[in-house]
Amino acid sequence: MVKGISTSKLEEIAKVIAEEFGISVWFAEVVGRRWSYLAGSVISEPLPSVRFMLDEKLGLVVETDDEKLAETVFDYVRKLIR
Amino acid sequence: MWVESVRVAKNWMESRLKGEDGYSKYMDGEKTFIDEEKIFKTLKENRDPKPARIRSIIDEAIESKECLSLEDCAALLNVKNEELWKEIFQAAGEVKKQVYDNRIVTFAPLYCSNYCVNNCLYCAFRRENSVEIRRRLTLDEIRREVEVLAGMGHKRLITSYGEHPLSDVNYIADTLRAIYSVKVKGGRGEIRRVNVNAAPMTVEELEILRDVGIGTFQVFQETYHRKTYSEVHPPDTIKGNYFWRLYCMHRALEAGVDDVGIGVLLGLFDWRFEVLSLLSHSIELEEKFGVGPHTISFPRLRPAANTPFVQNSAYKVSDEDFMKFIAVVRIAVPYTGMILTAREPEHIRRRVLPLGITQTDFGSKIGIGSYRESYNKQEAKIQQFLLGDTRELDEGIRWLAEMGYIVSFCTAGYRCGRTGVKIMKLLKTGREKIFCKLNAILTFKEYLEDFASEETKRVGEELLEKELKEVKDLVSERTYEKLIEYLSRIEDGERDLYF
Ligand code: SF4
Repeated sequence: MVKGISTSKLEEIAKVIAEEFGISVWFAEVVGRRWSYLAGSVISEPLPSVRFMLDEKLGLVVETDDEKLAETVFDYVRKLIR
Repeated sequence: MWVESVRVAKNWMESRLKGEDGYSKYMDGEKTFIDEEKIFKTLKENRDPKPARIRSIIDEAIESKECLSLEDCAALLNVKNEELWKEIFQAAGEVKKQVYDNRIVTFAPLYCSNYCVNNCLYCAFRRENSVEIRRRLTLDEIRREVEVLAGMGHKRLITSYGEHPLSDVNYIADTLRAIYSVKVKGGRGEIRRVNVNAAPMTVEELEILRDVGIGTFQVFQETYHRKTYSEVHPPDTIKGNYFWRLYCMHRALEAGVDDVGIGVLLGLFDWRFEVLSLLSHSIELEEKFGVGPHTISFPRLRPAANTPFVQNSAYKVSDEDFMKFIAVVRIAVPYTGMILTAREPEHIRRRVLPLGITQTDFGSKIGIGSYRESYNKQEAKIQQFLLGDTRELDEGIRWLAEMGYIVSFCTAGYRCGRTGVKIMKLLKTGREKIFCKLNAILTFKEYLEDFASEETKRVGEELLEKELKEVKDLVSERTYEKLIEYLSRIEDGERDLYF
């Protein structure tokens, strides 16, 4: 698993974010231009999403059109995986 | 020189055949997931199904969007009553509407090399076909081909290569890099997704393609029937190894290429057998990896230079059976994309599109180097087969729009993690169609702004208006507002916005 984080841990983080912020996030393994789903929300609302890199291979997708909120969630997730 | 290159190709072929087998570990002893005896037995045991059973199979399939059982699929295949077939056709269209709505993804093929060490009886690229002119495009030539394609407005390509040391995985990876590097019209013309149709590969080779940004990896089994397979693919060739090919999607998924495309070449064996085999393959991939085939393809045999096998095949599929094949596959594997190519002439495409097709190509040229060099004519000696429909992309888009289909150039899914089990869930719950619609609208708008003729623009704008009205009832107010904002940003010159 990327950076030693298990998919079950990522699932847990996605649940925490859904509870704390009321939005969906999911994690992807990023290889080149391909973002392959790893864990997190499977049912998405049709909203724009904001993508962040957590490390060189692990991507975070935050489903919101509010870029500030997305940044906040990104910071929060970064703390959780540290 | 020629003798030397034949020797190199032969050695290369032998080294690939000798390698680690790459399939035993997925098999259950000697058994594969294609159980021929069971398939024939199932076809036999489900003869003369009652109309009530057929109707309940259809209703259940529309409701669940799960794969059919082999038994239920065999029952559909055994329907004799033409009136009941009309109901099946309608149901197939309904499944497509519920999973993908009215969008059709479009793409163009790019043939990069026609050198091949194999000797498939039906193919003009086979090594013993001495009338075929052999050529491998250089990376500069690839870029020039792509400039033409991106300049037409294409965003998605399927690249194709014969199996040969000259077009090994490193060459394929180089061609992908070259394709993605091309920008025309100030960046508005670019290829955003490259799918690859090539020979089966090892996990390590597939990882190389994954790393350079492959879209879908496509390999067709051609026929799942073992005896026929060995008759048309000589045993002294790489392709003669049925198992190596049968398990190539297992290796792709293991390598992290999570969009895989399977298919058959119709005309080699009984089409009903092939439907049950495609279904078996889909079920196997879902069971083992949680992900079914991203697409299913079903080209029919076409005339090819110096290839008499095509004329003599005993299993040619009639237009009526072709329709039945498509409708049953659509219902049997509801979530999969279904690709209809320009092999088929316009009147057939018009008839089968409503049966559940999700992708088709326009403006296609399949000669090596044809986009740049011989734009308006087909040349049998550099083509794998002859096309049935050579209409330009703009004309094709207008044709589809006039029939109520919106062309999509969407390439969002694999760039934002809507892949694997996530995409499967979205497809099966009917939610993906909303993403499809939104992204179809955005990419269609880009096309109208950047590439469309005046006539297509007029027809397209009318269609867009209708789509916007429809989408308003499908999504939240917030999403709708975002869509409108994106459309106006596109008018202002921004590109590649997606949901
Ligand atoms: S079908 Fe493919 S493998 Fe067979 S001869 Fe043609 S190009 Fe080669």
